[in-house]
Amino acid sequence: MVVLGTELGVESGEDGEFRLAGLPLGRYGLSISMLGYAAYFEKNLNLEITGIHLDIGLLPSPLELPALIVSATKRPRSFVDASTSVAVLGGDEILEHNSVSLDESLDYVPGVHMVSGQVNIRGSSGFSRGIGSRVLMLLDGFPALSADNADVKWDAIPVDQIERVEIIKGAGSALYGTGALGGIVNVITRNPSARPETRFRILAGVYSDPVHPEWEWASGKRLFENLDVTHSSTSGKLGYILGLGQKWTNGFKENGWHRRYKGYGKFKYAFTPTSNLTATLNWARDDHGVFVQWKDRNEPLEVPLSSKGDKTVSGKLHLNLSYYLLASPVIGYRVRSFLYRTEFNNRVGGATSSAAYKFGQEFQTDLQKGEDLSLTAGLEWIADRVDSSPTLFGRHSGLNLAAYMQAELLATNKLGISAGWRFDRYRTDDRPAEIQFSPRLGLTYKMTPTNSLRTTLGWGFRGPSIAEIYTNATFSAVPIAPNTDLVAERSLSYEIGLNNRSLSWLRLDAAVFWSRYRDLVEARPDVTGVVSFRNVSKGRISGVEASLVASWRILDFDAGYTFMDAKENLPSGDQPLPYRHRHISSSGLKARLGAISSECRFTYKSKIEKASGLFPEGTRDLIPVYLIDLSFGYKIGHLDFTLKVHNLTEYNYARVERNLGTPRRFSIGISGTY
Amino acid sequence: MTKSHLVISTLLALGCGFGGGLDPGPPDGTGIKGTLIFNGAWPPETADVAVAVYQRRPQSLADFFSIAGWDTTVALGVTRFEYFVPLESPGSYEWVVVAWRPQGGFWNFSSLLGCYHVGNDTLPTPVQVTIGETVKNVDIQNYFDLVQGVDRPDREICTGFLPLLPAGLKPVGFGRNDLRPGNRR
Repeated sequence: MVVLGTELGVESGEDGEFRLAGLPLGRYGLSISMLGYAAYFEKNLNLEITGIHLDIGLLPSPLELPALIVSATKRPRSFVDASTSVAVLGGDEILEHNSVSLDESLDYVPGVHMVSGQVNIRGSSGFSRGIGSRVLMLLDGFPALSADNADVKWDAIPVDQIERVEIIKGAGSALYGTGALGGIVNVITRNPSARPETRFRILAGVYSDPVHPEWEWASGKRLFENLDVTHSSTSGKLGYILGLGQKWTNGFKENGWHRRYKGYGKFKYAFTPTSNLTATLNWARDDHGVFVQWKDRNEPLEVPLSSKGDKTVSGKLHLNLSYYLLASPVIGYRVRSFLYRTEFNNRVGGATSSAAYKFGQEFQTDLQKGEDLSLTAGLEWIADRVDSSPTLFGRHSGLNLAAYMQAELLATNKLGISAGWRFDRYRTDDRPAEIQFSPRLGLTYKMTPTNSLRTTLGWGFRGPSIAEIYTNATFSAVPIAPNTDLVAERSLSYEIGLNNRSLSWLRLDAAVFWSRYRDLVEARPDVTGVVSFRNVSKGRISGVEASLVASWRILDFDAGYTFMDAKENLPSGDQPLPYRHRHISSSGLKARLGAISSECRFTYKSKIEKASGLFPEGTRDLIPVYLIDLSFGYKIGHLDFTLKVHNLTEYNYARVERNLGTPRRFSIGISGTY
Repeated sequence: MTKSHLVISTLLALGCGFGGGLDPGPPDGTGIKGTLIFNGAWPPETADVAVAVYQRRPQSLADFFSIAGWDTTVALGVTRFEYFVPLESPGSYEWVVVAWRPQGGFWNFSSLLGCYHVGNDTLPTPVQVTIGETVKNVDIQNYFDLVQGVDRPDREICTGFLPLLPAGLKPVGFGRNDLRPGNRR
């Protein structure tokens, strides 16, 4: 049970009984949700006397909707009231996928696709080897893009701790500032459990041998394994989660080996029923080989002679602190402080290293004005410090100052209005400071209790990363030169969407979207072959996205389809934006019979029409992608078993040049909670 | 449940084209591949090394810009590198060269590290390419001392036939036929 608009909540016991003490008198909204039941909202609970008793009945629902999301407004709000397209990926789904890394599961979300580890929301990012993500990554609302590359370190996301992942589609700089050009991925981690609880997850598997004997490159099976153990409990006012994990694989391709150790701790201390402090420590150390490009298409699982032995040792550390105080029934305060440290030591060609620190603070206040108006306002500063090899980035720093405000108004019982803006001023070293103003306007209209329309117009921007400005190195034989004239890239995105839940067994969502980009930063070679990041072009991406979820007896079906027309406006005429698929679809059929479940999932991505231009073969090998995944689950007592076959037909494909996609992979997962 | 599930799974599997995807052949398409062998220490001012393929040996300044294919992914600092140059059309390719570029400098076609030649050939050895075929083992010996002015037979073999500089172009670097600014496209 969560008190709407606040971070206060409580878990019920197995009998459904809950008790929330110490709440000041006033009017509140409540959200109550439970697996297998439709979420219940009590939007106007008048707490006039101390001690009230609520009896709430939840209706069983085969189609579960997420009850609350926090990313759309920076405070807990009803999912169905969001004026922008939101997708939610549950932590249990990620475990069912037998995913070791979050990016594997994100690829199944409608409107989201991965290009060799780079997340795209509605085609926003393309592929730039991770550098300068156009999707803002957050961990519990804290920034999780590195200070040097502004990339997502997937191995820093604690997959086993994920409660859910909220994906906001479209520009989101009105609340989040730089990086939210194409959307936001916010990973929400679990809270400490009320009672002692130990969870574990073992995952092991094997990659199939190459289908073509010519591609054999190593003797022995290519294996992987992953182990996570966490313990959680609450003692008095302190709740905690402690976790350890490790991962190992020898990789399905040369230099594909990887070893990881990780540790996790989350502590939540409730000073009073209306104030709490949450501290999260998330650490990972990775040692892995580096595969940038294949030797050739006859030996696609091997690296060129010059890349043998290439490796990276990296470390990531999140230290996040959040204090929340509900000062009165209508005012809440939140203070956040964070440090995100990333480091790596590359042995790729020569030796390069970088240690990057991103740290900052945010002060946010939430105000509830009457029943129909809520306001959110905040101040934020974020600093970047990078200390790297002179032959890579060098030493640099940046500072971002911001102020934001957002209002949500229920104008009528059918029409909701959401409007906000954010000012950002940022500067890197002694380059001229840039100021960005990012407004946003959203509307929701409930035509009927089960049909709603939404529309959003939002601005986004992304300041260039330190890597994009200052890299002066040769990366995998591609020389990269600095460009200190880089400026922020900007986007304007608009969408109109429809959500339909008229039938109890069917949920439909569709959206038409349109985004315009200018000053897009792309890595392009000049006439001498030297690559630099430049504000090269304008672009536009328009498209349609549709998804449906249906449930009939023991069968669940889901399908998602995205059509994108991604164009770059060049003086010579419109050209396709690199690394975008025109058509993406994913559909799954799941059957549940008692303790047994099975799922078949089919994914299709059309051919990428344009690539970087760095490789002379162009898009020759970037063929359409067809993947079938099969999985089976069995639950016995406290244990869940999952058997999964990824890429059943062992379809060989490449999403970026000279990189073969994951071949057929068998995995078995065992997880348990005690 | 099981039957319907299996039927749908099978339909989906058939619908997506079993057995498709990338395969080993044709190997790399039409092109030339081989190993670059680097002799001597890499000059610290090295910015780039690239392989360029010409259909005809250049006879004029304009010919230098008629490159049929290239590989710009040569790793720096290594002793060996396996290159591949895709080509659009079959035919005879007369000049396969390895070019060197210093930091802050431009491509300079007299700053060549080597070219493909075999046996007692006194000129670069042409490579015959047929459609869909990758000609392998076009291995090239490369000498860094060539760009430092050391005279060795490879200089004459690889660049001896080149035209003299047009009047007004001042030689720079270490070669006699400096064509700055160069261009590899």
